[in-house]
Amino acid sequence: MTEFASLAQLTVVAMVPFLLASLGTMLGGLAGVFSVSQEGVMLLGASVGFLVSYGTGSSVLGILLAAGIGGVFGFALGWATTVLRLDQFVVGLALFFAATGLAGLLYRIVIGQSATTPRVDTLPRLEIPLLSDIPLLGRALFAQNLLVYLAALLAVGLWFYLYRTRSGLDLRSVGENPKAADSLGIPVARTRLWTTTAGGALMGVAGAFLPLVFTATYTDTIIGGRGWLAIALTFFGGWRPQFIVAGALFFAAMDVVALRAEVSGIDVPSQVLLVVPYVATLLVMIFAFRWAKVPQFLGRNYDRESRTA
Amino acid sequence: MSGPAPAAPAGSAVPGSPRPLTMSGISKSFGSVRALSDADFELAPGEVHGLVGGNGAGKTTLMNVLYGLYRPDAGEVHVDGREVTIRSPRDAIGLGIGMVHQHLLQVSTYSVVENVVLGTSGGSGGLRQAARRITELSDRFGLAVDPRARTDRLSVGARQRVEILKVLYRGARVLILDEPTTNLTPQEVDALFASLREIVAEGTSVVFISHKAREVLAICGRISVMRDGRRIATVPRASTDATGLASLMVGELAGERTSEVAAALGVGEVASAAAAEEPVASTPDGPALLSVSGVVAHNDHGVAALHGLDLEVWAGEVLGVAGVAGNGQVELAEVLAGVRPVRQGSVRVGGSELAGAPTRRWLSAGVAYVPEDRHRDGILGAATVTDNLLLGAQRDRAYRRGGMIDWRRVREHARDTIDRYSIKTPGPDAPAGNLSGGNIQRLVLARAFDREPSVLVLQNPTRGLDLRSARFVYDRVRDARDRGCAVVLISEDLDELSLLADRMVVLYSGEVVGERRRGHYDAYELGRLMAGLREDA
Repeated sequence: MTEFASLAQLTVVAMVPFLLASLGTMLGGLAGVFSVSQEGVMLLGASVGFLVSYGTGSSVLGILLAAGIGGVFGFALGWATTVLRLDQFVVGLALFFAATGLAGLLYRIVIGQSATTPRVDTLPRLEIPLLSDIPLLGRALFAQNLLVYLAALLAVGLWFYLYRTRSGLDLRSVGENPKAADSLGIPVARTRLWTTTAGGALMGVAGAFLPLVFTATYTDTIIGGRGWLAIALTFFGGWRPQFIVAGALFFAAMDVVALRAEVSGIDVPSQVLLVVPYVATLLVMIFAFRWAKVPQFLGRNYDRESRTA
Repeated sequence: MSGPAPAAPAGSAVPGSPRPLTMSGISKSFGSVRALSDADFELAPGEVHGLVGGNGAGKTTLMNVLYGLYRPDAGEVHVDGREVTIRSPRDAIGLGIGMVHQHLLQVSTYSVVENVVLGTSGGSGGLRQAARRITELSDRFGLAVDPRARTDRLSVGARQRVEILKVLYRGARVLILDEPTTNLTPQEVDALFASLREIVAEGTSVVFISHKAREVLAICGRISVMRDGRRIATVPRASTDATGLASLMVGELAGERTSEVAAALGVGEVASAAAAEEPVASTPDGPALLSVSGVVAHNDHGVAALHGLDLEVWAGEVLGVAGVAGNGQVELAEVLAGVRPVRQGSVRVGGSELAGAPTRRWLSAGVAYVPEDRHRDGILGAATVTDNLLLGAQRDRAYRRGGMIDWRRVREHARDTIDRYSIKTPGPDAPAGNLSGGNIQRLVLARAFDREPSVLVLQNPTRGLDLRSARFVYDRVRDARDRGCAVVLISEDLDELSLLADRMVVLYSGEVVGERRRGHYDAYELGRLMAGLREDA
């Protein structure tokens, strides 16, 4: 395999957690709920995904339960901000801390102290015949694990749903102008509840991806800021699936390049290389924020009977 | 597609066709404020029914209850003789009720057709089909609008037509319009009325909410008057007139100056006729106190909103600035108040240049500002009344002792001001945000007058105020003028401007497109200017 082909393949894999977490953020955000608990929910997804897979030997079950626990946290965000109308940022931070704590706790309860690091089998690659033989990009696009394909399909599916269906039009109106949506009979709270739940589930899967594909082990630092970057990425992608895919590839490429540079023994302190993705993010965001089209009502709760809005 | 038409109840013994709508015993409180108490309302088929009353009378609240936006504390609603429970707008739409809100409820980044079909995703057919149906409806009712246009590129008048189309598209048989004429030129109002006549001719009933007696008299067949949260009378158009309505709305006309009551109630002819009798302020000579030349300023989105604007205002004069909302009024007000950067041009007060100067210099030059959004820009809602009255004067020598604020003096002064301006507050330490709109406006005015301003800038100063508070504002504006202040009154209400302004300019698309002196105010002529038809064209 050429150097380029292998870098491309790594980049596509590394893209998935960014992509899933960011699509999850986008989904709730388009209905007006801004989540800041990605980093925590991803860690919890990683922990649950790893432990279930370790206990049952089934990575599919691990992924499903990671989605489930992520969904619970997403639902909690939706419920606290629609039914109780609590501040989205404060609730999001609380959920971040709760999920982070729970993730480490579960691992310690189930595994405890052990001399050897417990490992799980990573997801197998599914090579699509013929297509995966295409030079350069063949292996990057068509010799990946199941989740990579599903994530790509999800991005396309979400784009179609949000921008080509009437139901998607209704959904987006809730984040743009919930009062207008409400006045036309679109259920604001219900829309926010299901989008935050689905969004949370995606974040859970994004987290589970890391132990089940990359590392085969769980550590408390496994997410490594990807959750926070997913927030930036969602803005960078202008809250639209097609640009989020592009952004996720960019972030993943930064990740891979930094890693590769470290391995290849270039004479630069590794700490400097680790900073690369974040500096790149900062630079890109300075420009991206200018054109990012943020949902008008992002982060604000809706109260039908409020007389001040 | 059409809204599901509820069948008439079997065995209903109502002779003739049942009333499409009756409401009875409706009560609704917000916290300790009682907005509706035992209100009732009845609508006949195919009529335009006026619902009038002063600010806070409960008109909008009553219709929001009907539309499912507010849950009533008590009361019954019958549609076609059958009792219904309306929990949400979805229920109301299902019953054939549609509402056009005063603040247009649109997703501004969506196209017209997308806004219209929102929430009907159960319906069949694509957007193309929907667009055809919109075109058909707009042709039939004279509601011209391009279904493909993006909503935020449309004029306010066109956006309002979109709102009406939204309701018609859903096949509503009851159309509620809440203050639909607020931002329209007189010509657009006429066109709206023509459309409404077409709409009722096809059997739809219309509820027309307004606080403007003149408009209600022009379009409505029957008129219900609300006061203090209840309906106090319903009269046929033929048996009432402006004065009759005004006295019903206000309750007591004795002791009120008719011209002001008329202006507040929108009986414009009366207002301007009365105002025209007042002496015309003598033509000023000497240099203007406030002179603005070639001012360019951007709106909040960084787009130029004022394009080289020129204005001159002399001491002892009220300059009215008329125009449809969104033509640069907010930007002009903020430029004149020194809170929005001037990109180009100059703003001089008494000969000294203020463009680009820090706010402190504007304040010391005697510029005072009464902003349009008094809750957001006029006060600090969570701070006390005392703090708010001090705001801006905190560095004054009068309130300083040592390096600190002399709170004893500040409190004394606050108590005194609360008395003099009759600000109704639980106490000087109550949070200002809890006061009613009228009292917040008194507070803002009190603070502005404290500085003995030489230039006073007001934008829509009586919007949302009851008659008494509106009169208070009018009196203060006259006081300021008589004291030699240069007053700039920016308002969307032509009646108000006719009443107060010595000279009026029309703002269109960030430029002054025309000027009239007192005695030469003609609503239709001004309306043409407001619609952008230049005099030289």
